[in-house]
Amino acid sequence: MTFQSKDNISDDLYHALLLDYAAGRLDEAKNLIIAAHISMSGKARRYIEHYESLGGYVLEQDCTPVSLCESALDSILEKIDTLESKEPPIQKAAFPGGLDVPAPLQECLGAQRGKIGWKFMYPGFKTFKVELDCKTAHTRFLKVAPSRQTPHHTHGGMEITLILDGAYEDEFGRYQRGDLIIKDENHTHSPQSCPQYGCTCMIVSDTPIKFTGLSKLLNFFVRI
Amino acid sequence: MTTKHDNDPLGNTGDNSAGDTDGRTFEELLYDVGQNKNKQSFIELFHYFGPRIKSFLMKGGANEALADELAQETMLNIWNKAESYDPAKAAASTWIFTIARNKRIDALRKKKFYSVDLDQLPDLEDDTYRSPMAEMADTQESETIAEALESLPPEQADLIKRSFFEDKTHQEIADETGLPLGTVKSRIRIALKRLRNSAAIKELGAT
Repeated sequence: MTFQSKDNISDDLYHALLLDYAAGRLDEAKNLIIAAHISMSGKARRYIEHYESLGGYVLEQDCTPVSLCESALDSILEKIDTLESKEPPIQKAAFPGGLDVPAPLQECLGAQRGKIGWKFMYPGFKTFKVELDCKTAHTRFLKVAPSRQTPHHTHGGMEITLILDGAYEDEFGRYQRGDLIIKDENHTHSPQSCPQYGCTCMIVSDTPIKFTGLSKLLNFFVRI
Repeated sequence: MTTKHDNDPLGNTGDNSAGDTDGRTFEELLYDVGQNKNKQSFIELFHYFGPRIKSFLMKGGANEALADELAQETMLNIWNKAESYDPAKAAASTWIFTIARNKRIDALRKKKFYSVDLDQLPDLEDDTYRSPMAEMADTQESETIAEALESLPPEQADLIKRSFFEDKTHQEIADETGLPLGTVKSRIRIALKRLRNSAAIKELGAT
């Protein structure tokens, strides 16, 4: 269970995303999908620990100390004594259908104002969107029945998919729970869901996906 | 990184403005804060890391007054969260960096950050888990990712370091440095490739 790719471009994109996560630079949607991926993949965790250790290194080596104001330490010690500092509990919500998803996703669902639930897209396909503060990316969940082929489509920008349940296969490989798949505008693919379990996944994309060829009519549905 | 004097990734002796820490490592101090709520250990961490955290926040765009306030809040968070610190899993500086990073995102970018508390995650079935600390103990001879960073040409290392301080896009960095956007992007790509070919990451069976 890890990131899979068959080409160096995706490797570059993958590690750039992990480094940007460690550095705290990702937008909310990409941050969310990477946090969920890390929660599900032991290997991704180990990459992140290495990238975060770079942060610790830079903090020690490159941040020339700047003294805090004189009263700082006293003020902190006073707060330690007087404040019972407990963070407010994080509102969490279950994933539709009770699927076990990592904490960051439960947290995201807990913050949604609208109702969460699968909506019919077209036969064999259900979807729902989540609203995040960042408007730069589209975040949606997709549930595909067993043995369904998603029509050929391309991506206007980067598309990141995280498999939450089941599996899918495309021209480039087979992906299962916890796997992250990164595609960009250079990729056209037609994923096929696992014959036994189908596939549930989370998708973050810079632009809505575009169906090509005879499937163009479906572009109407993905806007739902 | 287990002891700041003996085992610094680059063999630096480091300047410990905290003065005497009774020869205890930062990991030991932080663990002591978490398990025993030891204020003396906390004060020692404050003297060393407080000014560095403030500097980190100023590099991220905070003015001095704000950076001071946020550095204090970060230190408070360190006190409050230290209980979850596991010295077997991360160096103290790494753990403290993540607390400072989360504070910076929260305060300066005013946005939600979904952080994963690596200490708190349950073990995974697929997980042949080896923490970087354990790996480092086993492979003293092999190159750490920090050493790989320092072995990069300065212009590449600089871009990677900046990505930890600043929230600038590649376009903004290009504008600021006068470099073509393509150059910024390709330098970062080459640097990242070099980092993930460092021994530490390669041992994970890099993709």
